[in-house]
Amino acid sequence: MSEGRPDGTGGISESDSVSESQLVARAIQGDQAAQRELYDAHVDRVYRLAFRVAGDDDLARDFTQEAFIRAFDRLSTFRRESSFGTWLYTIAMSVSLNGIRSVKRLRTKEVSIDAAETLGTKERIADPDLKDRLKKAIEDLPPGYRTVFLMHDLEGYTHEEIGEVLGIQSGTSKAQLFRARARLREVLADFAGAWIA
Amino acid sequence: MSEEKFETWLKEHADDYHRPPADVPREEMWEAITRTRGARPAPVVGHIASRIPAIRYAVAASLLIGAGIGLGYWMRGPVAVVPAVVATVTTAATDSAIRSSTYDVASVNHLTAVEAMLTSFRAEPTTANDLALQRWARDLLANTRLLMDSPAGEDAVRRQLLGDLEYVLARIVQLDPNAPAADRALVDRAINREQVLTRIRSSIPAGFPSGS
Repeated sequence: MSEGRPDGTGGISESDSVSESQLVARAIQGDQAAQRELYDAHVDRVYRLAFRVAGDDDLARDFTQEAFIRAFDRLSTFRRESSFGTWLYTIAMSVSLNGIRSVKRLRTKEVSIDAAETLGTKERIADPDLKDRLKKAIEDLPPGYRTVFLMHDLEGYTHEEIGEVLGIQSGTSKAQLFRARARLREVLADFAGAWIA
Repeated sequence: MSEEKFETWLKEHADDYHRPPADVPREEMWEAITRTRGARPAPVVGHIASRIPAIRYAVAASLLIGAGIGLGYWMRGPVAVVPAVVATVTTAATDSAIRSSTYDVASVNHLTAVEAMLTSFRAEPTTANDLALQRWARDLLANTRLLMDSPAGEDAVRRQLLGDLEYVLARIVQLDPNAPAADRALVDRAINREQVLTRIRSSIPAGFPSGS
């Protein structure tokens, strides 16, 4: 799994894998400097992923912190079958997706209460513009499609990387991305002129 | 061709969706991580103290299993003398009932403990005991996750309650001991908004000792 990002944010290259392995070994022994190095190498990607999932700085910070806390706590169980980065991003995605699920449940209830309170007094809202429609279309995607779409199209992960992080086949990742795009294209058909032009 | 144009257009426009800020708050998050991890007692390898939680959990698990088995037998009603062949047929169903009852009892015990913890959290006006509460919350958070992944989490209503508890407990665990009152108020608001305590109490059968 290549871990350098095109935008240069975080990641450890393949040539650094030996030193990363040493860092992990030192971090398991409780060496905080090694933990900090691992953190520095990966925090940007973890935070970006968490932010893409959460869309909120506070939540993204919570998820990032929780991911690192869990990773450092369980470092002795890291089997080195994958790179440390892949293992860490797997934890980060699990924390972020579970966390946002809980938050969404709370928010849905809040919104439904607010909606009930304003029922009958609400004025007609003008059609949302492209940005809002696109946002809603992405949010309405089934969770699996949305996750693959965010990771591939917005964060630049390869299907192989996505497969490793989410524990699915790379072919499944490709299929989900294809369906996600098809769904978005269908929902955003009103704006066809924008991309055809 | 049209497909490619759409993909290009989509990538360009969708990049605004939950776009992360350019500056990642590295130092603040690192401080929070080290503070949270540092707040926990360091494990003493080989020392008896490190085994106490394991012993405690083992004893608790044994008691729960014993209570569950007892409850399972109690729910079966008085034991009648039946032919051996009938006993063989009913074994699978009985095992399933005992297993289910065990997890029910474990869940109720856990919910009682969470109720006690959340009541203490809300009743404590200062942050003086936050570290002790955070330790308590961390243990409960781990148990909540274990229950979610166990057959106890198969019940949809219970699973949703456990999921909400996971969120609230995680917020308490991550609460900075020096955090302003507003941060505690946010957690308190989440507890109120989700009616967590009411839902916990309604999940605890009548006659079971309350946690608060």
